[in-house]
Amino acid sequence: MNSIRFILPFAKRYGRRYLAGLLMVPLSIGSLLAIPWLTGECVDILRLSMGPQETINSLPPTSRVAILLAAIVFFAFTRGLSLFAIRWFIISASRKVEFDLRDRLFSHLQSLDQGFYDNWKTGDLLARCTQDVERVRVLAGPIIMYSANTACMLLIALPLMISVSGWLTLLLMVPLSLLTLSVRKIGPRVHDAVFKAQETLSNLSSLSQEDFAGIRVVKSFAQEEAESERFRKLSGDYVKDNLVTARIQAWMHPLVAGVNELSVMLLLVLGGYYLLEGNGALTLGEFIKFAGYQFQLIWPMISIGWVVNQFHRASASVRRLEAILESESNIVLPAEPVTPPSGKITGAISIRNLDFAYNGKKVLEDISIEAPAGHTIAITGRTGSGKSTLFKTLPRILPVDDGRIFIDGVDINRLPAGLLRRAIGYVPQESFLFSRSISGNIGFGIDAPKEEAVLSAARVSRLEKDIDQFPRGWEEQVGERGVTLSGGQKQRAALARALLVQPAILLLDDSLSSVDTQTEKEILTELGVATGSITTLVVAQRISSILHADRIYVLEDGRVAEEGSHAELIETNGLYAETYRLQLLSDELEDM
Amino acid sequence: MPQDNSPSFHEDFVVGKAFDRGLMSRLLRYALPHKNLIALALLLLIFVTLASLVGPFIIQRAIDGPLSESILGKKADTGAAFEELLFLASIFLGVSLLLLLLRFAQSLVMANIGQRVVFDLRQEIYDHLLRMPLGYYDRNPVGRLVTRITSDIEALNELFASGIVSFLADVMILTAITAALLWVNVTLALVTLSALPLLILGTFIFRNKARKYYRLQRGHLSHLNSFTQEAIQGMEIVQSFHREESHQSEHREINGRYMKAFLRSVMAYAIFFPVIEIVSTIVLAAVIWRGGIQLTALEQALTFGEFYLFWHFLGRFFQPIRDMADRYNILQSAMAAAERVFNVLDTPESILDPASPLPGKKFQGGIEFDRVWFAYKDEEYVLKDISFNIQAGETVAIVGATGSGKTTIVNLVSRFYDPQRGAILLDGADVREYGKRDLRARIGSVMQDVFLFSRSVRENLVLNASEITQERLLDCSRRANADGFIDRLPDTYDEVLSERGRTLSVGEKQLLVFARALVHDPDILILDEATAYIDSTTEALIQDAISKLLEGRTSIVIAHRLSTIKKADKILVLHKGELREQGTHSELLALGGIYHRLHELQYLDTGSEPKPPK
Repeated sequence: MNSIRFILPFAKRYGRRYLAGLLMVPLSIGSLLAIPWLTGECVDILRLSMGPQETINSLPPTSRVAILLAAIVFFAFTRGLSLFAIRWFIISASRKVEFDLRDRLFSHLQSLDQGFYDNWKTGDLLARCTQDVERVRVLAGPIIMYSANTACMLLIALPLMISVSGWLTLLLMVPLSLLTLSVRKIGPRVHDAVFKAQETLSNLSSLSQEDFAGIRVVKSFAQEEAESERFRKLSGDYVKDNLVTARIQAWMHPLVAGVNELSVMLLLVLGGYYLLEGNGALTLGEFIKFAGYQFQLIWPMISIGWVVNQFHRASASVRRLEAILESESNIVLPAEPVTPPSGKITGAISIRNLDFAYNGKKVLEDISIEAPAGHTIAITGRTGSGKSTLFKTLPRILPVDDGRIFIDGVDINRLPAGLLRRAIGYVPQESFLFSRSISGNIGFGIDAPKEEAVLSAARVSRLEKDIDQFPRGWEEQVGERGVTLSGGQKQRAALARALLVQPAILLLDDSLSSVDTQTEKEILTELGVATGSITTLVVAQRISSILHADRIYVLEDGRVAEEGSHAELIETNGLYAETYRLQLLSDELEDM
Repeated sequence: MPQDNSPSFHEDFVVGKAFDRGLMSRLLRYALPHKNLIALALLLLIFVTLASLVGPFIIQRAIDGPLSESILGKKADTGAAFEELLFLASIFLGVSLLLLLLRFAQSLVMANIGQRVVFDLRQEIYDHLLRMPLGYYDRNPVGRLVTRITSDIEALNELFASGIVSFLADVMILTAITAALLWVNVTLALVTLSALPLLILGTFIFRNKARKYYRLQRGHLSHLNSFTQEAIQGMEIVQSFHREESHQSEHREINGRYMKAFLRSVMAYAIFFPVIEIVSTIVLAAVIWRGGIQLTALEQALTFGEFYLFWHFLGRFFQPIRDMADRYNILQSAMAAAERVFNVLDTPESILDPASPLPGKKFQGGIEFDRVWFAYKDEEYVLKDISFNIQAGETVAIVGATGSGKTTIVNLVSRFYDPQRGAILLDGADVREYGKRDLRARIGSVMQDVFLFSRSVRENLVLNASEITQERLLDCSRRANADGFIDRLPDTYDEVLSERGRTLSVGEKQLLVFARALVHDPDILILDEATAYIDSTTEALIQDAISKLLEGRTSIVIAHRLSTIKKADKILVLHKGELREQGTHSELLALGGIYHRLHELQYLDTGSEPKPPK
C-alpha cells in the first residue's frame, strides 16, 4: 500500500484521464459480454424457428435475428470505442506519470553531493532510473487498467453465468482459478530464472569485455585457448540457464490452452446433460452464451495472477526509488548568503586548518593554504594523498565545515552557490566529456556560448589543430560513435571548457598528465598570459609542469609534508627533490 | 541544446533488409548439425496443428450427434445419448492432454534448437576474435565487439528459436483452419475468409507503424538513458559548472520526446485492437446471418455443430496473422545481426602460424633485427631500417621519446605485428617460423599500462596455468616484493580484484605484474618501465623487483630511469623511428651524441643546483 501512497500524488495530476478511462470500463465489458448473449439469442431464435412447434410472435424469426445482429454490430462499435478510450486515457496518463517521476528523480539526483555519488554505483542508479521507473509506470497504468477490467468482468459475467446455471458456473470457476494460481506460481519462477540467465549473460559479457580490453595480456601469455575454454564454460551455463527458463515458460501457453479446453469439456458434459434433460434447463443458445462468457473470463483470470506479481515488483521498485528520493544532500545552501563587497569573486583563497573525513576515514588533516588572487599554487603528492578531495571542497561538491575555506574573505559555506561555482573553472583528474559535439563540450559551462569565445578557449588549450583533423570539425561528436579522443585531447577539451567560463579561480587537477611535454609547455605559457588575473591551483605528478608555481605544497597522507618554492624545496632535498631527479630523464627523453 | 542528431540515436533506426538469401543459407548451415532436432520440431508442429483441430470437431460431433434431437426440443433416448456424449468428452479430454504435452515438448525443442545453434556460433566468433591481431582491437572499440557476442547472437537465437519454425507453424495453422472451413461449408467459409485480406492488410500496416514507433521510442529511450548515465557520471562537472538548471531542461526535453513517441505507439495499439475486434465481430454477425439462412433453409445446408465450428475458428484466425507480422520483425533484425556477425568471421586472421612451425622449445634468447621496416598504416613508417643484435642473456635498454618506435620494436618480437620489410630472428630463426603460441609463451611482457582481470590475485598471477604450485606462487610473489601488500588484503591470494584492479595503487599493480612475469618464467623478458611516482618506498621495491626480473634472461627494457639504463649491456637510442645510437653506456658517452647530452643534463641536475624554471 506503500506503493499506492507513493504513486498517488503523481497520479492525482492526471485524475481526469484516469476517471475518464475507468468510467469506460463497464461500457467496454458490458458490450463485450453482450455479444455472446446476442449470439445465443440468435441461435435460440433460429433453433425454435426450425422446431416442430412455431412460437407465436409478432415478428418473423429472420427480422428478429436481423435486429439482434444489428445490435451485435452496434456493441462491436461501442466495445471498440470504449476499449480505445480506456487504453488511451489510462496508458497515456501512466506515461505522463512516468515523465513526472523521471523529472523529479533527475532533479533530485542533481541536488545530491559527491558523497552520495561515491557511495552509489552508476549502474545501480541507472537501473533505478530506468527499470524501476518502468515498473512503477506499470503500476500507474496497466495494473490499474487490468484490475478494473477484471473486477468489472467478474461483476458482470458471474451473475450472467449464474443466471444460466449456478452449478455450471461453480464448476467452471475451478479450472479458471487454477489459471490464476498457476500464473501466480509460474510468474515469479520465470522471473527468477530470467534474472539468473541475465546474470550469467552479464558475466559472459564481462569476460569478453575483459579479454578484449586485455587482449595484449591474453596474447602475450598465450592464453587464448584457456580463455576460450572459460568462455565455452560460461556460454554453456548460459545455455543451461536459458533452457531452465524455457522449461518453466514452456508450461505457460499449453496450460492456458489446456484450462480453456478443460472448461469446454466440462461445459460439454454438463451442458449436454442439462440439454438432454430436455425440460428447458439449458438451451443451445444458453450453451453458446455460457461458452462465450467463460471464454472472455480466461484473460481476466490470468491477469489477476499477473497483476499480483507486477504489484509485488512495483512495490520493491518503489522502495528502491524512495531510497534515492529520501537521500539528502550534505551541502546546505546558505540561509543568508553573503556576497563579497565587490559583488563578484576576485579569487583570493584561504584554507585554514581544513580537516576532511570520508566515511569515517580521515583524508585531509590540518591543511592550510594561502592563495592570493592571481597567484599560481601547486600541490603535489602521491596518489591517495588527498589532492583531489581538497579540490572538490572548493566548489562545494564535497561539504566542508564552517570557517575553514574562505574566498575573498567570505566563508564558502555562506557564498551563494551559483556565484561560487560560476567563479571556479574546474578541470578534474579524469577529464569527463559529454557525448555531444566538441564545441558543445567546450561551451558546456554557459548558455549560448559565442563562437569567438569557444575558439579562443580552444586556442589556449591547443585544441585548434586537432579539431581541424576531425571529419566534422567543431561539430564532431565525442564518444564511442564519434571520434574517440585521445587522453590528451580530452584533457585539453576539459581545460578549454573551464577557461570558457572566464573563472576567477582555475583548478587543474593533474589535468595535463596525458598531454605531451612540448604541448604542455605551450599551454602553460599561454595560460600564463591568459590567466594573468586568475588564481590557479594546480595538482601535478609531473614536477616539470609545476616548477613555475608561486608556491608548491607537497601532500603526504592528507597532511602538508613540504612547502615552498621550487628552489626552496630542492634545497630542502626531501621527497620533492628526490622525485624531481627521478623524473628528469623521462622529461629529457620527451624533449629529444 | 537538443541532440537530435546524436549518432547513438540514429543507430536504433537502422532498418535492415528483411531477407537475404546468401545470409540465410549461411545461417542455415549452422542449423544443419541439429537437423534431427529441427525435424522433431517440425513433426511436433504437424501433430500440434492437427490435434488442435480435433477438439472443435468433437464438439461439432456432439452437437450434431447425441445432442441434436434435444437441441431442437425433440424427445430423445437420454441414456444412450449421454453415454455417447461422455465418450466424446473423454476423447476430447485425451486429445487435450496429449496436446498439452505436445505443446510443451514443442516449446522445449524449439528453445533447444535456438540455444544449440547459437552456442556454436557464439564460440566461433569468440575464438575468431581472440585470434585477431592487436591492430584489429585498435580499430574496434571493445563495446562493439562485446555486442557481437551478446545482442547480435541473441537476435539470431530469436530467429532459430521462434522465427523459422513458428513461421511455418503459423502458415500451417492458417492453412489447416482455412481447409477445415472450406471442407465444412464453402459459402460460410468464403464469408469468413472475406475478412482475411482486410485483417492481414490491417495487421501489416499496424505492425509497420508499431515497429516504426517502437524504434522511435527505443531511440529516445536509449538517448534518455545515456543522457541520465552521463549526467550521473559527470555530476561533478554539472555541479561544479552550476549547470543543473540547463541540464534539467535538457533532460526534460528528451524525456518529453520519449513520452511523445510512446504516446504515439499507445495510440497505434489503442486503435488497432479495437479495430480488429470490430472487424471480427462484424464477420461473426455475417456468419450468423448467412448461417441462419442455411440453417433454416429446407435443405438443411448447415447443422448447428458446423455453425459452432465457424464461431470457434473465427476466434482463432487472428492470432497467427498477428504472429506472422512479428516473425517478420525477428527476421529483419536477425538478418542485420547475421551481417554484422559474418563480417567479423570474414575478417581474415592476418598473422598466421607457419605451415610447419619449428618445434616449441626453450629459447637461448639471441635476438636480431635485420633491416626492419614497419608501418601501422600505409607508408607511414614508424621503424625505418632497424638493425641490431642482442646476445642471449643480455639486457638491452631502449631509450627514446614517445612515438619514437620503442613499443613497436617489442611488439614485433612477440609477433603482434609482422614487419613490412626485413626480419626478426630469434635464436637464428625468423620469428615467423615459430608457432605463435610457442613463441609468445616463452616471451614475458610487462607493460606500463597494467592490465589485471577481475579475478582473484592467484588467478591473475597464474592465469590459466593450473600446474603452477602454491609454493612457486608464494616464492615469485616474494621475489617481486608483492607478498607484502598481498598478505595485507583481506583474502590475500584469494582476494578478488575489482575491475582492472582499481582498488590497488599504481605501484601495487606494477609489483603484481612483475610477480606474474616471474611465475611464468619467460626466456625473454620485455619490460616497459613505468615513469616515476612520488612514492619513494614503492619506488625502491619496484627497482629491486626489476633487477630480479632481469636476472638470467634476455631482456628488452623500454627505460625511463638512468639507473636502469646504466646497468644495461647495450643501449639503443631511437629517434623518430631510426636507430640513432647503440652501444654500452661508456661507448655512447664517448660518442658524444644524443645519449651524451641526456647524460650531461642528468648529472647537472643531481647536484644541489636547482634547474631554472622553464
